[in-house]
Amino acid sequence: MSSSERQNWEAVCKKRVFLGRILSLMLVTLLGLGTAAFLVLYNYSLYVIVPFLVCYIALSYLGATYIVGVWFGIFASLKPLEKDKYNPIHKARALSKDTLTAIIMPVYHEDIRRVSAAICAMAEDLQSIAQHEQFHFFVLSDSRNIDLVSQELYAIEKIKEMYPTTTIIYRHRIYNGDAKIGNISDFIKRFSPSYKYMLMLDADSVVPAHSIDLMARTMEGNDNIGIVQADLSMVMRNTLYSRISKFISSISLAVGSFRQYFFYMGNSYYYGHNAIIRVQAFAKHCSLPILKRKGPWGAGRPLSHDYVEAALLGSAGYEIWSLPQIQSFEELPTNFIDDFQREMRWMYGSMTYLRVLFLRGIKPFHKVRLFTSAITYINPLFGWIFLLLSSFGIIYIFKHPLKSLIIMTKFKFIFGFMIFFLIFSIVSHGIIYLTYIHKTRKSYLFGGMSKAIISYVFCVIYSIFVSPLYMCQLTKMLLCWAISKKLHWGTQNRDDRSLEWSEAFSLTGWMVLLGIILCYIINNVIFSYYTPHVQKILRIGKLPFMIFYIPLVCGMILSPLIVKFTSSHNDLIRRKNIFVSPQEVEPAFVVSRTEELVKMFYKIVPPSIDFTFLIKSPWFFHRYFDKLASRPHKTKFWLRKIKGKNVEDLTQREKYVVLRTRELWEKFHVENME
Amino acid sequence: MQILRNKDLLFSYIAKALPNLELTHSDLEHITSWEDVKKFTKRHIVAKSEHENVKIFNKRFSNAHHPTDSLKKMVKKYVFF
Repeated sequence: MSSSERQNWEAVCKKRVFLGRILSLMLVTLLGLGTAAFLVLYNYSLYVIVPFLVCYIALSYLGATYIVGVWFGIFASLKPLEKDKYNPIHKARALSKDTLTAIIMPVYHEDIRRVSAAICAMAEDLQSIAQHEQFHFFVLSDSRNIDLVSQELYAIEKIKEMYPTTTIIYRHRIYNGDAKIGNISDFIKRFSPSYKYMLMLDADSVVPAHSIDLMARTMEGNDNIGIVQADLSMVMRNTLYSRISKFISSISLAVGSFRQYFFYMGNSYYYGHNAIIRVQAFAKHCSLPILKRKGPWGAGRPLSHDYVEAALLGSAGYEIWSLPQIQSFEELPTNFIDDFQREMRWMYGSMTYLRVLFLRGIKPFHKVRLFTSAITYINPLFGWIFLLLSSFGIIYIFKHPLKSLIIMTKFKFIFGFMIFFLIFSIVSHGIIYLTYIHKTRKSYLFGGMSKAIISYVFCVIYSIFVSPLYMCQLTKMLLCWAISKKLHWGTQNRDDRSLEWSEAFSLTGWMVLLGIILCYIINNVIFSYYTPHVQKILRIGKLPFMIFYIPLVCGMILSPLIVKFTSSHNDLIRRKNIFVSPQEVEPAFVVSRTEELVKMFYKIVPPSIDFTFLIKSPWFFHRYFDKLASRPHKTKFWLRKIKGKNVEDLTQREKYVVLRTRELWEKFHVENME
Repeated sequence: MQILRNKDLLFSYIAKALPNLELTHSDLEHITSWEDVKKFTKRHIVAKSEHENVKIFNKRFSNAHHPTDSLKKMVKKYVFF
């Protein structure tokens, strides 16, 4: 893309962002003025008005940007690609013959059967692409457990035998410093000269060959693009929690992704996976800083590296496009516990942005993005302040019923507008999403329009009741971060896991207690002011006031039930076609093939495989033997150390030495051959 | 080595190393040392893998549904503003 073309889209992007911000600000100002008018009319002190408005504006600005954004999102989603002259896909061209793309999958104690199945499905799908030989798979393992490493090695050999024309490289790091970031750096150091692009995947990612090809060709045709991020759709997993998440993400992400694309264009997001990256640019500009420990911020490299890398690459002058036209898939957590664990990692990572944004060289646009990404996690605190101040507001109404009635009657239009806006903000999203699926004739992918509407209504009710759960948990996470509680960056659970009651209570026990306390306070403190005399004056029953608290208190008290119930497999909901998502109705080849292959891999690479099995297996020995380096000096040294030991008696370290030394590998196999 | 002395054991060992190969005892006549075992398996691992590959891809292309040019398809579906 020439510099004038870049200037063109950048100018358009600036205009769009400016327009979005102005409209959001107008909306927030309108709402803020309405609220401020009420506060002034009620004679509140400035000490109440100012913090209330600050919280109100902070909360509603984020909401307003989304409400405004989705309207532009639906416009962008229905605009044909041909009419979108800024889309870099138009410049996609075939890869030159010497261009290689690495498809990399970093793994750490992952289920290698699922990983292998995805690789095989993608390898098979890639055969339909003309330049499939220019795509090489890399499995970059950071696993520590020798038995899991044994399973990984065994599975990779199986894949190599099944697909000998596909290049697949397995690398296991001896030392897993800096976790995933270190793993990627290791890849960059070793392999970057050979590869022009790398397609970054997660262990739960699956990308269709068409998307892989399109991403690579888009990069090839646009020299100034640093990253192309594919659209993420959630697939597989069948607990109720997963089905709801899949449905809501399918119905909202299409418009949401187009909204993002419309506003940010070449300054878009990178989510750390399902994205293709220009390797040399990444190697040159994305060296992450090592931070010193300071206050609640831990030492080391930023945990959530994706946004930082995008900021570094964007600041170096490269474009980052998130293209909703390119489809890709990932799995999702199956219950609240796994989701919160992931959220906690993201939260800790996002808080690091507050330090990273002070790095020199990061452009203001990216600084703002890093800042807003970090403060998103502070929102629950605003939520609590908002709740507290609103409760004082209700008490005030009960204490001054006559004044309240006069104000409500006199300024009915402001009151009406606020109620209208509340309903509009809830309903408008649904209307937009349903319009999108109607216009694109995709309603059959959601079980039909009526089922889509019913599912969406259920989702809205569900969201209202689980919001307190998120608010409580995110507040807890924020406190954990503030007191520098160490984060365990473990492996992510990706199985369909139904939770036990004990697990549900261990997560939500304190929320139940808090809910009961709140219930007591609401009933015995706030509503103690609601006397028959007040009711007579206001002419409003208790229920309209209670509605404000019912979802909050019910959400908290019923949280163990919600957590437990949503982690189960509900056949009735499935049979009734509620929460149907497109990939259930019309699964992409790679998704359905991955599901088939997972079952096959469970048979050929059972979880019982360990180091002893590996060393005794004639099938594996001969396939692995030739890849091992001869290390005579190491052999001499270690032979003395392990003299007289059986395979079972070897320590983990010794097993790793055997696994990496040709002579020792042969010796132990010959001694233990079956 | 015991497997080199016992032809049945050797047969069973090679059969495990090369499960897809149709072996006969006569194939193993010339194997007299551990180095011979390694050479024999190495030779067949390569040959068999290529054969398996052809089988798998034939199956995949005959049964699987192919991703078509979904982008074009998607664009066609839209009702334009």
